Amino acid sequence: MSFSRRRFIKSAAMVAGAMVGPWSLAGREARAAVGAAKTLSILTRSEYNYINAMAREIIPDEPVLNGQVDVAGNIDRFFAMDNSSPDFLVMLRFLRLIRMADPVLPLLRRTSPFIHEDVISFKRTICFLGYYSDANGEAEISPAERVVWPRIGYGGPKDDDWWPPDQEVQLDPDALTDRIKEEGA
Amino acid sequence: MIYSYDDIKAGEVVGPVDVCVIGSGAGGSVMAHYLSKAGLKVVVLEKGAHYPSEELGKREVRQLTRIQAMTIFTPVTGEHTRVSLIAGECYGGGTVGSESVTWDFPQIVLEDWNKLGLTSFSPDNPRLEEYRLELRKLLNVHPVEPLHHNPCNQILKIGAEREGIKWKSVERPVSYCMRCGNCTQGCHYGVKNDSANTFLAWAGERGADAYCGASVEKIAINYYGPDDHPYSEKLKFLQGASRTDTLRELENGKKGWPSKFTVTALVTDRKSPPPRKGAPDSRSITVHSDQVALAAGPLGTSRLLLKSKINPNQVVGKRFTTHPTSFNVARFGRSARLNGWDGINDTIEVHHFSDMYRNEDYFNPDRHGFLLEGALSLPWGVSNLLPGTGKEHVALMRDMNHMAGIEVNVKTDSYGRVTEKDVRFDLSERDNEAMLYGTWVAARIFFRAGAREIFTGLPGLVLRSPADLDKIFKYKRGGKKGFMQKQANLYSGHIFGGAVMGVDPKTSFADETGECHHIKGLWVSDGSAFPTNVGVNCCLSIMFAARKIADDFIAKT
Repeated sequence: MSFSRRRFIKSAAMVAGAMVGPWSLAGREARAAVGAAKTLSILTRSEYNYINAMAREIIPDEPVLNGQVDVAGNIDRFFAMDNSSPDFLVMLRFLRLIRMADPVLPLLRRTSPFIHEDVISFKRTICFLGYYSDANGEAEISPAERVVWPRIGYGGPKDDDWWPPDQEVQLDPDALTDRIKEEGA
Repeated sequence: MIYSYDDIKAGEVVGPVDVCVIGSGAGGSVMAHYLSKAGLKVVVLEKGAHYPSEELGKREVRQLTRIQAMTIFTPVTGEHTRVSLIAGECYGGGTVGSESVTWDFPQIVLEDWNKLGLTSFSPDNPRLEEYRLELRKLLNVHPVEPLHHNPCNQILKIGAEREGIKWKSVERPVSYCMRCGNCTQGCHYGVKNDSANTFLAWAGERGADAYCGASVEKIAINYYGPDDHPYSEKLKFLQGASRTDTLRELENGKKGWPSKFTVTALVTDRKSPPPRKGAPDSRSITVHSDQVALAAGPLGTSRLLLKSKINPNQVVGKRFTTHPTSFNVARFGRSARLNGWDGINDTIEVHHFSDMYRNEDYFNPDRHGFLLEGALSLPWGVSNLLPGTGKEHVALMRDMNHMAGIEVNVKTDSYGRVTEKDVRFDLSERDNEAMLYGTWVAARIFFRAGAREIFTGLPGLVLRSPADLDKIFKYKRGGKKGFMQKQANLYSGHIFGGAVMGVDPKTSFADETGECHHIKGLWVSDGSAFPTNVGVNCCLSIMFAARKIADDFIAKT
């Protein structure tokens, strides 16, 4: 018998529901994000809180921890303004299931490590979307105002008046050690 | 003219026209151009939106989700495989968001197709060479200049040279590339010769109309002709009066219909955010057409045929295949500033182990048959490629500018199936071996160029020294070897099959001209028609096949 990712997650959620009780899980409140008073367009308040709580675990970078970057808010804005991909709407459906599976994640890690990995993979994807990708809104602001991209050395999209250099930076092969030659393999 | 949601009335009727082309990517655009050029009235229906170049580029996820139909969260699955597919879904299809790596249709694959009985695809057919040269000229295909390889691609070149294996500067259909590094979001500068800028624009000049945001719901066959199944079979055995009666019956069947085919589509505003629940507002459009050319990609074409109940001999959706790809990322020392997001993304490919060298002495069919592509990605892509969560992951991302990537792109020998709801596909044992060997070669190349650490496509496997290389072949998790596990997160932008060409109507949808065996006037002109995959980046291969199909269409019509 084979399982698609969706079926994996559904089964995880059902296990969670059976063990903890679906209504108590559905009503579980995630920790509120710092400065979480904004108006939401797509996410529910509860989803918003949950994503920001998740982001603190997945990306414990200073701007996330101190609320300078609102990961869930970025996702909400992205979905409200831009996205036209049905695949990304599936992501929102998964979010509900993942949330139900959350209390039993430690158990899943031991009993079904692959399902656990899928859940973590999903959490990573959605948190990274709201933090590292252009859904973070940093393409729309000046480089001086950006928070996330300078931390990873990403220069952002090219300015309108940008012109390419005559050539790309050329690496010096002598500066790159041949580790196969040196260490053997 | 290009029409979108705001330009049409609900219930609009178009035609009758000579040809309705469904899909505007590599296959559909070429058909639209050459059929328009032949004087036929063409209407193109495209599911995605039209984005002029000034609306493209610069935004990693925003553009990716606008111009591509992804299956990140709904991947192709099998018993032990999961592949996320990326297919174009905008005016110009996959050519718009393609990395623009261009390979000619491999000669060795032409030989394969010839052996399958598709003799007009024989390398001996002189027309094919004319098509190849013509397309290259029209698209201005030329190799990337040596000084235009970004440092990430130079790593692949340096490593491959030290390893003593063949590499090449890729060819691209771009005029005066700005090297901004955002090819996969469409070309903001309009210099990529994608289908929107070329074939579709030329078709438009000759009177072809395109409707964007038009999701085709159904192809209806209004009547049958004497060459259509089952009448073609019946007529073989009929003589005299009964033959005349049958022919008259078929002729009478045409009465009252404006054309043989009616294509119905729902047009939505693809530039507006879709509602979270329910379907977006749509306007229906009906196209009456004498002939239909399917070019909605292997998933779209197969599903449309299945939805329209056009499935002779139950062949539709079968022989789906792809180029499953895994990604390896290497971290280099702080002195190597690579800025993998800057410059053209994929400019060097190691083709030493490619299927095109199948006849070389060194080629081992049990583990070769893959391409290595030098590439990295933008921040969201890189973050997903790197392992872990928490502080460890945050620290890795800080080193993004000291990382390079190599994709291992395997020419699978496995086939899956497209259904209306999902796609089933599994790697074969041989594919797994090829992917493992490809990963090993990629890792050697990285170490040859001084990599400190390699995050392989195998979940959790990090190599820190050349002594770790053997771990690739020993990799096993939960009793599953190598990549034969769903958590390996394979992906592919190259997909084929589902309505393939072949000699036998019992096992193939179309003949070697691309026309359906059973229903005349219904054509397949994209990757769906490919009976095998091609083993190389496939835009030009699809255009090449469509170019031939367009000529066959004109000759037959």
